[in-house]
Amino acid sequence: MNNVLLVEDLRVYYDLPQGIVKAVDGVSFDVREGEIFGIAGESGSGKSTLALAIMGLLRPPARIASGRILFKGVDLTKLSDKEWRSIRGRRISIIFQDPTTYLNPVYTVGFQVAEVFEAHRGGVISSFLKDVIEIFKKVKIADPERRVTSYPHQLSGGMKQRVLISMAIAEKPDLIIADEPTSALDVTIQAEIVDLLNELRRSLRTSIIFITHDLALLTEIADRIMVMYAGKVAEIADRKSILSEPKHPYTRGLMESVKYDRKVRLKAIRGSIPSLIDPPKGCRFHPRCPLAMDECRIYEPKRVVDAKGGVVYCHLYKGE
Amino acid sequence: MVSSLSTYLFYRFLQAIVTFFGAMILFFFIVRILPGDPARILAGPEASEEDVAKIREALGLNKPIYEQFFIYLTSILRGDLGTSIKYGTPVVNEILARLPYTIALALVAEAIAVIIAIPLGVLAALKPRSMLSYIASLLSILGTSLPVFWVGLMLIFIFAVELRLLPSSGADSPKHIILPALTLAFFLTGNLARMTKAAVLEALSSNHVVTAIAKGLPFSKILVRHVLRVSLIPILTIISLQLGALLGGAIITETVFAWPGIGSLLVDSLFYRDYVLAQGIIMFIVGVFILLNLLTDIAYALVDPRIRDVLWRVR
Amino acid sequence: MEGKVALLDRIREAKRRRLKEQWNVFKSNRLAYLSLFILLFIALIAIIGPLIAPHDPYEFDLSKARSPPSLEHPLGADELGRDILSRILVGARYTFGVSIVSVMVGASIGTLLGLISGYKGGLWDTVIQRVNDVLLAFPTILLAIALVAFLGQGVHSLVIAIAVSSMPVYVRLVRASVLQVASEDYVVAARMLGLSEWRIMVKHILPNVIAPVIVQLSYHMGLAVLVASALGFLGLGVPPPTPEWGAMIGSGRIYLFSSPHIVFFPGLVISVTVIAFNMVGDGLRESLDPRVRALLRRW
Repeated sequence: MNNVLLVEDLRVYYDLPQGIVKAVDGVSFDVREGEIFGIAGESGSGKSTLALAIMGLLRPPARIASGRILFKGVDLTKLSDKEWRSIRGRRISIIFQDPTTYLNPVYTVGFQVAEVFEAHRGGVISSFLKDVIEIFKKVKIADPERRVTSYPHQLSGGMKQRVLISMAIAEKPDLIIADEPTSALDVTIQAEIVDLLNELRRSLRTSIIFITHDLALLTEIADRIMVMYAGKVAEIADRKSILSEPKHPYTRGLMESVKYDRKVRLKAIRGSIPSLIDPPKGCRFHPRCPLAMDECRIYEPKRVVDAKGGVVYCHLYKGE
Repeated sequence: MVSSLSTYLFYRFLQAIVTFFGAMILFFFIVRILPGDPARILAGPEASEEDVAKIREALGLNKPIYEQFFIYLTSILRGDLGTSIKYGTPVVNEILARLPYTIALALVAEAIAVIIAIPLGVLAALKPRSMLSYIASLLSILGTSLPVFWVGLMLIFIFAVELRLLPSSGADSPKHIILPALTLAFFLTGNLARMTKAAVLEALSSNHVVTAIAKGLPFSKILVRHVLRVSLIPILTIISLQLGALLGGAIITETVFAWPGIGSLLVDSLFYRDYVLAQGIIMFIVGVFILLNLLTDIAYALVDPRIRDVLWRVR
Repeated sequence: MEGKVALLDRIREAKRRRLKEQWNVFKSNRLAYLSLFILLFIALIAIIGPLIAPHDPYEFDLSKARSPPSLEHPLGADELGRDILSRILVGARYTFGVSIVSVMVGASIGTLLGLISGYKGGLWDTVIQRVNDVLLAFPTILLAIALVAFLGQGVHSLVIAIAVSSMPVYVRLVRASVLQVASEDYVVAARMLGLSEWRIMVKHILPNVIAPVIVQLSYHMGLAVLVASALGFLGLGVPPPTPEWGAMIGSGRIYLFSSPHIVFFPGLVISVTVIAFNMVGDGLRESLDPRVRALLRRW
């Protein structure tokens, strides 16, 4: 099996006057060809920072402190601006959370999608009109011929998100990062967008990294899921395993808090996410973990891989 | 199908006219709704009965109020702003005679300001810790804090008195415009530079720039399309706000330099208690101001597609 | 009952903490902090000016006319031999004092109108907005000049002129904020609970729209000082021989060539005052602007 993306011990820090924020602190995972890789975590878990890091979109005071991001063998952390330009939008692309602010209000949506073609194929923007209409049809934007000349403010949230998706798939990239693509939308539209992404994955044979706080959503569409907590990986497992036997206490807590069984009360995980400037010693989850042991307070858990290739970082598991 | 642009323009034009009439009415009442005898107040504490009567006659204050109002409105519509008490000539003539000087001063000052301030602001935003940025900040603080008349006088002192380089007042030669224009420009540049920097900074950190980068666009296209073009909107706001400062600042600057424009004419007319002339000039300036604002709004509509959708704006 | 009291205490405590946090951010901007002290100092002078002035600001001595700075007259004497330092000290209440009072009056009325206009909407909104547009149709200085000219000379005209020409900005500013806030959940909740409109406007909406007003106040007072002194310079506003800073420059201007100090010192004081107001405004914006604070707090 081929790895489209391989992230090795990535650390992304923010240099703030209050201290160094360790937003991503030693994260490793791989994304395979054609799979939907879900990343789940609360806000502050580092998942969005991770997305920006992969795309090379980090701005100061953020910086990649250490680690490697290998995209088909190429280390993305070492690319120059010029090299990035041929990768962004063409081989890796990203869909952002809030379609309203991520679109330029003074240009038509057709123009903005055409910019992707212009960037990678050269030529005049107007020559890509047909291609844009084709893409709009693919993402199921109604009345595509007219919509091409619409401005962002004239479109609904769901349609704007489809425009962002259009930009992402225009050049048929190998990897698409979707950073909370549905969080700003209504639930019904969410379902449509998710279905769309699934379908596109199949037709374009791309890999998708789907980032969200909604673990339940991931259990429905992701092939494998990585759960993040406070800048670190808690667990990586395939969909079935997460559903049937979540290993990490945090994962379990998440699964239990979304149980749809009406007879059982929703259980919240007590406590709140720790500060990333001064995180808890040892395992970062230990203050909130119902199964915390003495060593959890002192030592950081090591990476444990199981037979199926699932990964967990927890003292409960000692290398099976 | 009616274009939303022309609908907007029509609506905006109507609004301008309504506002102008409103301003005229307001002004009418400012002069007349005063406790006591307006003519006496205007004539001042040292006036003779004759002076008071003259003013009362000239402003038509002896007639019943609705008649005054009627005369007032109809004469403005006819373009008749009255006859100057001091000069005896129609106010319109006096204004038109000196208008070119004010326009010249305003244009030169604004040109200087735009040429210096906008590039300065853009560069300051792109390189926030550079020397350029600090100069821009300093200039903007000084430009918005120092009184125009003081700066003008200081400049006169330095250039006309000490260095004897430039003339200090009047408008007899092209050299005469330099100091007044510089003074007014100083005032305008500071503000414009700061606002430009803020607008560009805002555009630079906006999310759609991230999208543009994520698409793989080259820096030049990102800069022009997604930063500059977008910051044009707030910059237009600033320029329209500047118009007020320009007109007001021109009044003071013209007075300091004895520049024969309508600003100094206004101040002189108040000094000589020629209230007919003063009234006429004020209404004229207000009219011009409203017109300029209208033009800026039109430019706005051309630049920002959101403005054209009236339905979108009226929430 | 216990729970309710404890909750109110917690809310009060949270508010206190937030205020302290804002104050700390403000303090960290040293320029703004310094400027605040400068303004307080000038305010003090505005109050006790006549008491500490070395000379009578109105007493003139033609033998000493236009004399440069000396021991007896640290900032020199003006065209009628009056001590410039004393006149500046006493003039503070006219330039500085009048500006502060006028802007406060204008801002208060403007905020009130903005609240009504934004919250009640409908006819109220239309009428207030149209009148506001008319006021905004006059360039600020022109409106002030027109008002002062036709209201007659005196401090009262100056105050009215500046207050009226300040008002429109606040109406617009507050209305915009109110429109944003009024659709928020807690306001809708308050309405559903049947609270009186006044109560909602004052207790729920006002605190949330007041931040930009406070920031604007500082800048505006600086602007008012410029307008007041400009009017004084033009000979409008306060009658001579009132030692208003701008008026001092206006009357001393013909002697610019021979005795620049008459013009220089009052202008310097005006400049410092306005710079201070602007710096404080910047500091307030930093500490009160939720966006900026959120940026500092998010991580």
